[in-house]
Amino acid sequence: MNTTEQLLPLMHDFNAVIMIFAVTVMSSYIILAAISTSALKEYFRRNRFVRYNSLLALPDAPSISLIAPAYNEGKTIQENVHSLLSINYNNFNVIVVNDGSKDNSMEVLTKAFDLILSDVAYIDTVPTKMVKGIYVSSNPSYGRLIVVDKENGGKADALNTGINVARNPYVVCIDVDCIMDKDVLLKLAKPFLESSCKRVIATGGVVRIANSCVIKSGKLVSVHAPDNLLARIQVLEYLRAFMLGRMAWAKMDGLLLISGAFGMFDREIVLACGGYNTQTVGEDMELVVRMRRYMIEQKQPYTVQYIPDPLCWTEAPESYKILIKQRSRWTRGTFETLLLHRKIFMNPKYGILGMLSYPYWMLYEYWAPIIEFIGLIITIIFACSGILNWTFFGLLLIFSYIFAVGFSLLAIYVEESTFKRYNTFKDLRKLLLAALIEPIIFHPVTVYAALKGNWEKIKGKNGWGDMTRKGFEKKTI
Amino acid sequence: MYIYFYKALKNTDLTLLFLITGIILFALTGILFLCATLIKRKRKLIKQKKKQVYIEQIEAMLFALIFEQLTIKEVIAQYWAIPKDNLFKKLMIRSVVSLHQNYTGNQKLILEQFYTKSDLSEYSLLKLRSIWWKHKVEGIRDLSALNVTDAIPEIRDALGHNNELVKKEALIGLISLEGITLMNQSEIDQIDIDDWSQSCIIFNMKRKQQTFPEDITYLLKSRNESLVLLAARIIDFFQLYTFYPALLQSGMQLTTVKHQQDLARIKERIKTFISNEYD
Repeated sequence: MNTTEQLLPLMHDFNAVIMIFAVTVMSSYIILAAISTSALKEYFRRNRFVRYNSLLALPDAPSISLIAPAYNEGKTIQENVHSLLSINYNNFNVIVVNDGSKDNSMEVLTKAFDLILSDVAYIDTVPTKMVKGIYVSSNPSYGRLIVVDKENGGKADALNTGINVARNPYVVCIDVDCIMDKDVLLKLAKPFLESSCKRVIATGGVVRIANSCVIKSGKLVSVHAPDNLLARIQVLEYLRAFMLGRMAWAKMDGLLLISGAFGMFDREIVLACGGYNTQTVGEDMELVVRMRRYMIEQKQPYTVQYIPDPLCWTEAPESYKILIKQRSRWTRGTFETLLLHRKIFMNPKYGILGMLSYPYWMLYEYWAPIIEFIGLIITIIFACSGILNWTFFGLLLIFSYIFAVGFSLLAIYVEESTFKRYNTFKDLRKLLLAALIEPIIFHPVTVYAALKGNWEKIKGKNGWGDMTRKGFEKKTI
Repeated sequence: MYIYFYKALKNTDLTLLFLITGIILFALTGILFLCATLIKRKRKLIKQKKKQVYIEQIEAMLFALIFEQLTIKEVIAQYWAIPKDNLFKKLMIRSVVSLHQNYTGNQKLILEQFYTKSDLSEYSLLKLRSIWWKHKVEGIRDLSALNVTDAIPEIRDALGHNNELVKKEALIGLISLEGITLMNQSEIDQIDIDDWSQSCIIFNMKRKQQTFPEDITYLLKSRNESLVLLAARIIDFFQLYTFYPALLQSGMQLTTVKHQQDLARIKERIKTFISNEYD
């Protein structure tokens, strides 16, 4: 028996394994999409007639602190803080944490908002890097603003500082460069007012891509599909992830991740859990998992809610270099969180969290790119050995491609049936074209970035890396 | 089953057949979604155009009415002359409600008269009688916003509806039409009024500038804990000073921790307010 004949049964096994993996991934996507669609329907049913402004009449509306860590955001910080201050809500303040920026962020803030040093004492309930000063505005118009200047310690450390400074029972952690919908807090606060038997420990929201949208005075004026192809593809990616994925996990009460760009938390529980973990770059996911573990271990009934409304708009990377950096960081973050909380894996004590959410994330979010890469390597070996079943290989590629395109089309359809934020036929055309191209030019890059993230983890890299922002001012009218 | 599936996949012919079927299926589904999206977009654009035309007609009629360029009779005659569908009626009601909220005095009354004398209030009543909860909620909201007191018995019936949203909307609508005294009635005693509904009730009371009865302290003694909290919030929000002593003494019957905490917060706020007044 020659080598080729020896490899033949191996190839059949390999084909079968690849098929099983592909089919289970696709089935899980379809199931999640079906649950999401039903959850979206339910959300619209419940909120169809809601008058969010009513909450402005309630003096007991949850008091919220918006925490926005800023690092080298000098270009956009003024406009962004203006946007945060103009949010439609009664009981809130904005805490901007300047995380030792090397640029002129602090000067810009001081000048723009007439900041003066406050004599408020800093109590580090969660240990953080040294705080240089807490500033408030001398201008009563900016009475809601608090700026904390501190030594650089990373995003998690900055968020912990903000949580320490906050006095309100709820904190909304956001990226300072995000553009918020003016009703964002009204919508986020609603679940906290409705649930009576379970404590709402966190509410997550949808993050959308703001590239090419028209921003005026820190407010989103009109929404467009990005001109940049990479950013446009990320619109589809976000639509799929937030509307067809997380919505389902929230419905099943198994949501593991609330985006670091936008989430609301019960401050008491965050503090009881020790705040954000500064040792991981996936601090957003890690906190949610830790909070959930804490509630389960304390045997306290709780829930994590999710709002599908597009409330937070962020700038997506427009270059492959920055995209790869971002995605490799996400992989490291996922790996670190899964490793830290390995105890919950298939542990019935943690319910859906341990039995479904964790295994899903491990297999389909963390391992998927690695399996895909291994599959590619084996395919190349088989091709070189001349035993590759080209028909199978070609059909599998087409199968995966058609599924990916179909799934993106479903995401576009769901968006068109629900929030309808992309208004023109031109936008629709742009998104449809992106759906056709994405599996060819975008997916391989994300696989590469995930592998890079693993490699970086093996090498012991822990930092965030720089992510240069273009800033919204370019597109401002 | 897994082994069977695995063995089946090792059969090349079957696998290829599976892949081809999958490709055709996903391609057809994709095309279906694409067509559905395009149709939805097309319909949306047609509806937008239609809406634009309707809004222009509606605004012309309503502004002529509230600025008294035309009488109610003339506007109603204009209204009947226009061929209209449900979208037109919906937009018309929305505009009437919106103007009703923004104007006071005579203009408010004119709008209410126009609503009842045209077939719009009938349209809202039909909605209220519908079997669909969405229509019921819409109907209750419109009728209560435009003070159609004739609809009170039917809205009261909706308090017993099995849909929570209809029940809550009926409660909000009734308080909006009848005032706070409604809360003394036995049917309210069974309804748990969550914080969200309470904020809607207070918001409506404020918007309608409702007056208060001489004594509402009986509400603070209710067995319905959410009602106690609502009464406390009303006293606090509208600064009904005369009820402060009763409010500060209330809440002994509350057993839910959340309600106790919320009431304690309101009392604390009132105590601070009183001490600031005396200082």
